[in-house]
Amino acid sequence: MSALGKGIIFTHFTDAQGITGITGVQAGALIVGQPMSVQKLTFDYGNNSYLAEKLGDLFVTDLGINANARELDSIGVFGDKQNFVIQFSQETAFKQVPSVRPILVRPHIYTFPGGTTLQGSLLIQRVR
Amino acid sequence: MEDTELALLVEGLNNDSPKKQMEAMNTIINTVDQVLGRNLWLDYPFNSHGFASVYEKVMLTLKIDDRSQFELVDFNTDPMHTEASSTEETSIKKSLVLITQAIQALAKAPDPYFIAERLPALGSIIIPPLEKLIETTERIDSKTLAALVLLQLGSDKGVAWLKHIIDIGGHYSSLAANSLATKGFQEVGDNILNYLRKCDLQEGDKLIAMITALEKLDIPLPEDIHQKLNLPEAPLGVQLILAHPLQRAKF
Repeated sequence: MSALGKGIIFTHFTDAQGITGITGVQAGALIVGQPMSVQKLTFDYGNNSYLAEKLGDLFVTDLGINANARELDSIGVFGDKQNFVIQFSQETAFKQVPSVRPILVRPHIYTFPGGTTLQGSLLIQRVR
Repeated sequence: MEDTELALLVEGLNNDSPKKQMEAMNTIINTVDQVLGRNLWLDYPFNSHGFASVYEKVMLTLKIDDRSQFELVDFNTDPMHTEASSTEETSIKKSLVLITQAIQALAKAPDPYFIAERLPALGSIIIPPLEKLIETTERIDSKTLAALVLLQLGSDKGVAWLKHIIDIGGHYSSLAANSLATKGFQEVGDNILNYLRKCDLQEGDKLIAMITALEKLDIPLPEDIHQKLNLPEAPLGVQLILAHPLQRAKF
């Protein structure tokens, strides 16, 4: 079992603005390759991804932090959005109240509602 | 729009790079938005103000007399090569050309997922050609993605196809089940239960999606399916979801 909990480890790739908006941690405080635990994630609504259950839904992947740029390109994560990651487990998501249920859209792409808050075992990291 | 510019956009749409596809779609969305105003289109057919102002703008400039005839506009011809009598008419025709190309890319691109992901931003003007695509295409992924986009835009023309995709556990069946459940299509519960009765226990992600869709519909798992899924050899995610039923937000 991962330190993040049981089940699939979901990763949300984002940029410096995203990591600060979701976690409150300034991007400059993160060192490449050094994970940091956080207590809470507050996701906003997605604004550029539409083929989800509802407009504004967000996306995570089961590709890990070692995914290369080409793999991330293939799931629609480009440029600066490849620089920072937020990670949580299926167990953490499923235990939330209200529940968070990332739903498979296609291989390596899962969707969950915009505006979601998550608490528990959560990790953030600068990967590039 | 110059022919070379259009050719580059079409090349981007039909490229096998998601990045190039999304860049082309964003260009098309921004261009159409400037001409037609996509926010108004998103409300069709529920917002009479949007219907009146935007559709009538197109109808007037393209000289369509009857609102019901709008669906007869042939998106498969190239209106840029017909004579335009005003700058506004030229802009609207240019938008229709771009929309046509985006729909054609959904039907023909090597992997049309990222085209579909952006299509709803074009608004309800794409409903007629997408409904036509569903009737004519034999490509399963294009048809399913078109049905999902239509569902988002308020058209149920592709609902029967999405139920079929759930029945066979095809590509995008997880998204189809949850999108239909979120929209309140109660009858899709039967398709989901049928799938769960015959599915492979190792289809962990699909099982989680189907169980979640049932929970959204307030349909409990029948005893036979619960027994099938609640086994030690079931994927961990399935065991977790059975142990932690859906908790809804309280309003």
